[in-house]
Amino acid sequence: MLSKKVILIGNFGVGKTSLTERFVHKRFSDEYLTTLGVRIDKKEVVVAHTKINLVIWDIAGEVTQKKVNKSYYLGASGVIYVFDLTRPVTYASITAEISYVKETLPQAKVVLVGNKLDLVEEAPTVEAPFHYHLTSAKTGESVEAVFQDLATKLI
Amino acid sequence: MSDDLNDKFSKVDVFFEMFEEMLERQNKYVRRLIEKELEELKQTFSDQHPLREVVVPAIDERIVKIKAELNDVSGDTIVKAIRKQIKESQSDMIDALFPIIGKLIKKYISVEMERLSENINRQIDNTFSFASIKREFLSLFGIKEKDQLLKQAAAPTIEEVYVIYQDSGLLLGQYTLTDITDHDLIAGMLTAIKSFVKDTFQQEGETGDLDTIEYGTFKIILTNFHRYYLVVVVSGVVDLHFKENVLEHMRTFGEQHLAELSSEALQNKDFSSNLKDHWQHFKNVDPLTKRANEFTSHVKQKSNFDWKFWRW
Repeated sequence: MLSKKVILIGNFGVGKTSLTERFVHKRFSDEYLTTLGVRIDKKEVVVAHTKINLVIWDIAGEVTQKKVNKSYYLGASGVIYVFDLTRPVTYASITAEISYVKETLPQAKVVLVGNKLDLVEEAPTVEAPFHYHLTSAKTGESVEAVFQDLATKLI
Repeated sequence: MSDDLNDKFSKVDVFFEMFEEMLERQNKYVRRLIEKELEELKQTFSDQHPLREVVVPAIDERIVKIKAELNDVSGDTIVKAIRKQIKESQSDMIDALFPIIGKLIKKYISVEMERLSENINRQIDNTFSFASIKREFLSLFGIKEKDQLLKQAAAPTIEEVYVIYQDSGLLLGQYTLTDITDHDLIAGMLTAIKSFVKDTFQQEGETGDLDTIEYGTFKIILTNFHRYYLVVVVSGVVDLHFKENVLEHMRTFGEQHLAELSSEALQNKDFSSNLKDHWQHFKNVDPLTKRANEFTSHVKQKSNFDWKFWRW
């Protein structure tokens, strides 16, 4: 079966871990995030009759991606960049952050996610470099679609 | 003179009578006041409502005050007091806990001794085997038979072997004798731990790496080979000699299966069957046998002596 490494990145408190927990059955404790700065989960996804094993690296949030341990980026085929719809500071410099990700991982497919949709009456307009998904890890809205979209891009 | 004196005495008598009457009146007045006071007090205590109004708020006030005082005393103070008490009466604590903890320790030791005993018995059952003859032979060189038996009882076992791609931490193959947990996650976490340790402890100009992780009776031996991590999980007592054997076996696997592949070919390759073929025949050759083999091959190379003929 095809295995792909996917990294989940973004500012702290945007809901990356909640998104992963919504999508996969949690195996390792959250303590790994605070000690190692990463927690790993996996989920099998089927795209066009092809099974893909997504090994998801949930990386601890930082104000800027430049602070993230670069070795955690290595070998990633997919990137899910998460921001918080209720906190403009988490998407204020999104274009620069995505440029940095693209420089570090030129071959990787990137998916943007605006999370915490359940907390806003109307989703704010975010100046993002490309289309972004609107999700709610709390209600589960569109969470599956994000990973499905990324898996489609990976094959 | 006597009449005059009598007259004076009679006047004094009148005076005394008047004084007595005055005292009597005063006495009556004070008595009336006391009776009135008593009557009022009696009235106060006989009427419950006014009493409650006075007493209940006073009690409430006192309760609030006591609570506040207790809060000041609770928390750290109580914990400190308990700690102090425990410290001061350690021997009493030990006396109280020993029957419980002692039983647990005793149980643990007995279970472990049973296992050891079973292993040794199994070894003794093979008394007339080749192994026993070998033990006796080794005992001639000062290696005690019981030491050999104990060593064999705690012999290390290969539990898992992984090939992991360094960059992504993705598992490229596994050989497993157990079914402990998800191998993909283990491969990822081991890669993350390796990176974490390297980033945290590596100093300038240093090229060190995490090569062993110990957990309980398990030892995880990690080695780098080109763009891979080779990981072997071993249970039992791992001595330096065994570790060297494992590392040598890892190296030969790398040379045979990993050296020539390009990065792209790697991503889609599954090394599980290669790992199985390579590791299921792994034998921990003890140092004496290894030295003897080396010596024999050395002599073979140096001489033309017909060893086959010699055996006959």
